[in-house]
Amino acid sequence: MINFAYKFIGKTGKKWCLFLIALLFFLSPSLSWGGVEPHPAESSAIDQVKETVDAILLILNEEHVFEEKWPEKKKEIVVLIKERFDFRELSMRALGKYWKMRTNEEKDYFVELFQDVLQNTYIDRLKTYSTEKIVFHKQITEKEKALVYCAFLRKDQEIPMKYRARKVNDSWLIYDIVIEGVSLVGNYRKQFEQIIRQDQYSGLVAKMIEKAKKQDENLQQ
Amino acid sequence: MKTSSNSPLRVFVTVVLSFFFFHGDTSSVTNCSSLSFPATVFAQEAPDISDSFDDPFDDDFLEDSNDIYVMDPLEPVNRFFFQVNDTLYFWLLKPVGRVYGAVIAEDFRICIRNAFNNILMPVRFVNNVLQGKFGNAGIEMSRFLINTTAGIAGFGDPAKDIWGLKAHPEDLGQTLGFYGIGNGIYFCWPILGPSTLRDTIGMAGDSYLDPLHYVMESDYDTGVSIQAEKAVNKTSLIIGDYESLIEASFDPYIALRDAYLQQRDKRVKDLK
Repeated sequence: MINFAYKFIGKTGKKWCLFLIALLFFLSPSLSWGGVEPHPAESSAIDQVKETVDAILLILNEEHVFEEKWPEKKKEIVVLIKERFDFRELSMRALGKYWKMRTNEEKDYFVELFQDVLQNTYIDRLKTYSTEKIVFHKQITEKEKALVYCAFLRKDQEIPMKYRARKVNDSWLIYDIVIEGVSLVGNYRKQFEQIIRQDQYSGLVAKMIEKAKKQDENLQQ
Repeated sequence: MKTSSNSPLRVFVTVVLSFFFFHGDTSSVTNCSSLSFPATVFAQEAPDISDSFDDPFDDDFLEDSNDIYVMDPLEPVNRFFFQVNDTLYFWLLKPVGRVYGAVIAEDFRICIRNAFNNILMPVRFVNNVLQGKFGNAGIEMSRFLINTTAGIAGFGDPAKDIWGLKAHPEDLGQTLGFYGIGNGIYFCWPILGPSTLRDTIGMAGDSYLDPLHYVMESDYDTGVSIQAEKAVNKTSLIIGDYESLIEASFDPYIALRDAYLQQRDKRVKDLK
């Protein structure tokens, strides 16, 4: 009997020991950011992106006299976005193979123009998105690049979204947004390709200037 | 009576399309990429930005090099129908959807959408099975049984809300894609909107699993009004999405085409 009891305790003891070791083994990576990040940085991509998104949502959720204060708020949002987005990288990827054919001045001009058009289009759309929430799920990091998975919540739906970011001097800069599998930069790349093939690069720039003008007119109305 | 006008059209479309299909399958995808370019090619052409494009990590992780190209020999026709649909949306569907949305509470509109989704269970179930995703097929069946009973004819979604069973939508287009069949050529159908040859065939096949198809066959007018209600209800819940895409674009036709292709590709591959 005693012999048997000893055996039993011995066995269960061993099992417990194994279990504890296994537990420690599985827990240890989770202590250092879920084990997804090979080089734990000072501040991870997901944290930095979340910080910016939260700051923007905070501005949007201040309710007092929204319409009147919009231009002011928009400026605040633009500052936040400029800090977190890498418009040069974004423009480069949107132009794809046509980027290298441009002179430095053309590149700088394109980045400015594209940035303005994007900001005017999307920041004004934010007004209508203010009631939605964004939840952050996880990140994948490899070397200097990161993919941040999140979703925005509508009443009964979760719309998956991804941010692509790269690391520049300790800060993670976003260069693409993927909504429901549709990459923003990829979508622009197809459009630019088509326009350049038809109307050359100058045609594309003309179209962009026209759009920027229209947006300015709409804003002044 | 109207059935006769319905099915021959479908047969005709299928036959005509299958002509393009065999020209526009995998071989055409390679043709297509030589017409345009695979992004990997410009990675080698562009040494000055090699840091960003030559990265092998880019290929799978950033998906930049995985641009999807499609043959679009019918582009002029497609652009025409794109304009038609665009006009229909802004002049008919959107204003009607607005009024509808103002009259009927959002919660109730969500319930109606749930009910429409619920009766499409056969499509999702069969296509999950066809792709060997038996677990997901089981989930779809459970969702249907729970939501039809506890969810009162599918208006509610207790399967998700209480049991955490999320929907696993699959359609025949995705099933065909799952077995490696390419997009074929691109179509922008009047009213139905963007599609490809593969997805059009999928849609035609799936319609046989759609209860509304049989309603339409027995009573065309009722069928059409139900379809219209379905479309208006759906639109009322997503007003603004289409506008965002169009307003932010420089070539709306290409923007919609690419968004469609990217989204379908993601769904075929079951990426999140």
